Amino acid sequence: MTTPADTPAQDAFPAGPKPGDRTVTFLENPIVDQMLRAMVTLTMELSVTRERMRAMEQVLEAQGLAVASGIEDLTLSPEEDDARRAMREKLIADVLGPIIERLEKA
Amino acid sequence: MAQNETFTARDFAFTPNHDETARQNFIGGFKKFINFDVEAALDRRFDATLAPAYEAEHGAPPATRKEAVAAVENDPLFQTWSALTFHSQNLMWDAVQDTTDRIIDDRIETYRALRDARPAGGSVTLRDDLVVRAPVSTTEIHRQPGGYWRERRADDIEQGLNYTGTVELYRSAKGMSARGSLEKDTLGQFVAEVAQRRAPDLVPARVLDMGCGTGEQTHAYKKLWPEAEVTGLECARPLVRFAHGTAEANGLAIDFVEANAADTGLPDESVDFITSIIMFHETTAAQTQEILKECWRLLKPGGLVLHLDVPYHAHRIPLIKQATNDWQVRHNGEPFWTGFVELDMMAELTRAGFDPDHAFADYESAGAATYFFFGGRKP
Repeated sequence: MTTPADTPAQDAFPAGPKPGDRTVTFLENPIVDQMLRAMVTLTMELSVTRERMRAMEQVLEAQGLAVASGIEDLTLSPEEDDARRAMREKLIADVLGPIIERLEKA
Repeated sequence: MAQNETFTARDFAFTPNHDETARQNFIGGFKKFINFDVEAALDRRFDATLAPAYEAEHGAPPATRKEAVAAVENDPLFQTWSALTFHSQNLMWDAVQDTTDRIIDDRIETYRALRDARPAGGSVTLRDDLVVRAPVSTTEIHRQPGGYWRERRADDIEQGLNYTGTVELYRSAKGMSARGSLEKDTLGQFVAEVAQRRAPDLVPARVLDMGCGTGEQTHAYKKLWPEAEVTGLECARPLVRFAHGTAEANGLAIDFVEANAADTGLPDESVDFITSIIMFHETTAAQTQEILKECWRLLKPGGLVLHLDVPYHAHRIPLIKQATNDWQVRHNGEPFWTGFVELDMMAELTRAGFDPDHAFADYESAGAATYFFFGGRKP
């Protein structure tokens, strides 16, 4: 079998199909539909984070570090406190932002 | 990327990191919950509430797919099932894309090295003259963003990585490890078993796997018949490349060709065993006839055609499943599903030239799963 060059010119790439509609909703109230999805997404991230934390504690405990008690004894610096606040506020905006956006355009 | 042109399967694999694995496993678990728990609740609600309500209104219980859809479409549980199913698909494609974005440059480099070195001795043939027509070429099957065809960079294999990532995700949904080294060609092994049962005397010298996609199932045929010339046919270029890279990285000499299954360009009576796995329900009913004709033309006397596909024929599945399938057709990237299951496959085979005395269209089970098998032998 022959093997022709399989590197077409960059401009020869097909455009591909149009992206599907990922925002269509199915419940009577589209906001409730979006909230249901947001809840699942959040639950997913919580699950990922829990697994990460467990992995981290297991790795560190295996290296002889008393992580669980160390966390309880930790005192936050003002900078760390600010960083955590910013993270928290971004998360809130990420969760509620799409709903507000949709209501704004409705 | 592997050094010194020594490759392992992992060099070319879809390899989610810790958090990506946790996310993909969650989505697998979420899908499992929808498919089992939510659908079981919907099933019970259909029998206990929705079908009786339909009967009270219409004087007779729902008896067809259309009537079942009418019975469920305004029900909040059905709508919630729809929303959750739709979201699980969005989450799935986003999650595998994260992994792909992180590894794509390395895997393309590895693909080029594998293609140039051909450590297993297989080949890849890309054909610029191939024209795949709409609606096949324009449909995002399973709502995969960009479909099977999208290319965004030279030697692109992105869509192959994404597709194979979802296969891993489904494996984890069934409780298998997403990062382990479990065999990935179990469906191909099952097809080969069925082939051996239906044609015990057949030791194929040439095998053709149509619509092979990312090509993992094709591995089973090369492993079972190492002396055979095994060809994987696929019409989406990123998948053809990915299939070639994967086979080479796994040490299997398989030839992958970018081609239409209805017009393969192979000689008459040149193949002993022709197969496909869940290809037909992703093409049009009209194309099905063309592909079957091509299979009969290619088949050697004594050879076997054996295609596996979805078993969702109306007489086999409950009305509520017909209603959820109807939704999958309309909203979840399965536009050809209904057309496929409504075909009279024995009539299609006969019309395509198959000998009716040696053709079949029936069902086989592997564990809890049942599949539709059709094809025939050439006397």
